[in-house]
Amino acid sequence: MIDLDLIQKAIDWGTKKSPWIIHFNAGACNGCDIETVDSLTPRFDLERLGVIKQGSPRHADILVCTGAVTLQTRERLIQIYEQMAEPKFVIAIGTCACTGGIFDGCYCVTGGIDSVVPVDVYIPGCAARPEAIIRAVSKLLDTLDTPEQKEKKAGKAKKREKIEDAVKAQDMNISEEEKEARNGQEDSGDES
Amino acid sequence: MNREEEIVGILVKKFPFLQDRISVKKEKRIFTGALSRDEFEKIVRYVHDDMNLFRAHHVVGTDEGENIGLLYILSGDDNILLALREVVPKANPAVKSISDMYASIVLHERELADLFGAVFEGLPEGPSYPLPDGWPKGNYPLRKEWNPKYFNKETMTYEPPKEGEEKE
Repeated sequence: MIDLDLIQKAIDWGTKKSPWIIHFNAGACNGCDIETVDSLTPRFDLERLGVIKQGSPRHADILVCTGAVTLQTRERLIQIYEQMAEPKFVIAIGTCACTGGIFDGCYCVTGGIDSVVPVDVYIPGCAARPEAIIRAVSKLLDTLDTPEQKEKKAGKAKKREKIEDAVKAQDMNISEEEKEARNGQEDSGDES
Repeated sequence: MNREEEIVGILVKKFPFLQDRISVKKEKRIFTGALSRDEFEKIVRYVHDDMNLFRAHHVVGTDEGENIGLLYILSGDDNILLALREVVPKANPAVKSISDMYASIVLHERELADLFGAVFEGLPEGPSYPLPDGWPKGNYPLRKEWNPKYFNKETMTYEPPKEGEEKE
């Protein structure tokens, strides 16, 4: 029997010690992208804290987004967010990513990152300073142990169970009565 | 005589209708006034074939009320920019594409076709740029009469209020 709690603890420990990030430009002017890369490279060196930039969203824990979301990038952003494994976090870097900034209300801009995917940390600034980015990452990692975050995780797990049940029910394609009957049989089997 | 005035002289000699409509604004910058479609086609063919202005830098689109203005910026080896301004009516914004002479101009012209609704004859077919797929036809967001607050980005529909309802 595998101890799931232990594995979860190990995952939390690993996430906290070495968060892997994926960087996505949703329509920025490249100012915030330069600052993001700047905070990873030797001058500010987030990598000494274990933060590694990944090429694939499937390996990443944190989605680092810059820029206001345009109509062209909206679906790509959702795809990348869906591909990431739980637990996943989103950081919005720069004023445009937080609210849409000067591009808000433009014909091709839907607004900030939170108009498409839920955001955990907002970093304002045009462009956001590397110091601010480092502080945001460390703050985000501190919140991993708080009760709120645990509740969020539990809520997500419950939601996933519900979805899995619904999918199973659809796959089996059985009526409610049959399902109840089957459940009754299973219960009786357990009792005997 | 410097090179700018030389170019102006050649053009005026070849095309007399340019007499008062072409000027040297400052060093290395030559501008023309508003040209009709036929005039523009003749001039651009001539400067490409005979004057060796082989480089097209940009097309600037402007909304001028009744008309659409297209400012083509061309240059050659002597680094003098010649700006030809073509004006077409909004009701029939058909212009001839110069992409058969200047290959690099395709993206710029495609952008103007999307944002201003200019129709370029002879432009190779391709995807819409820079507007996203599924953008409703007949909506040109950089025209003055188009207002982004009436555009629904979820359903991709443009619904302006009817006349009379607009005033608040």
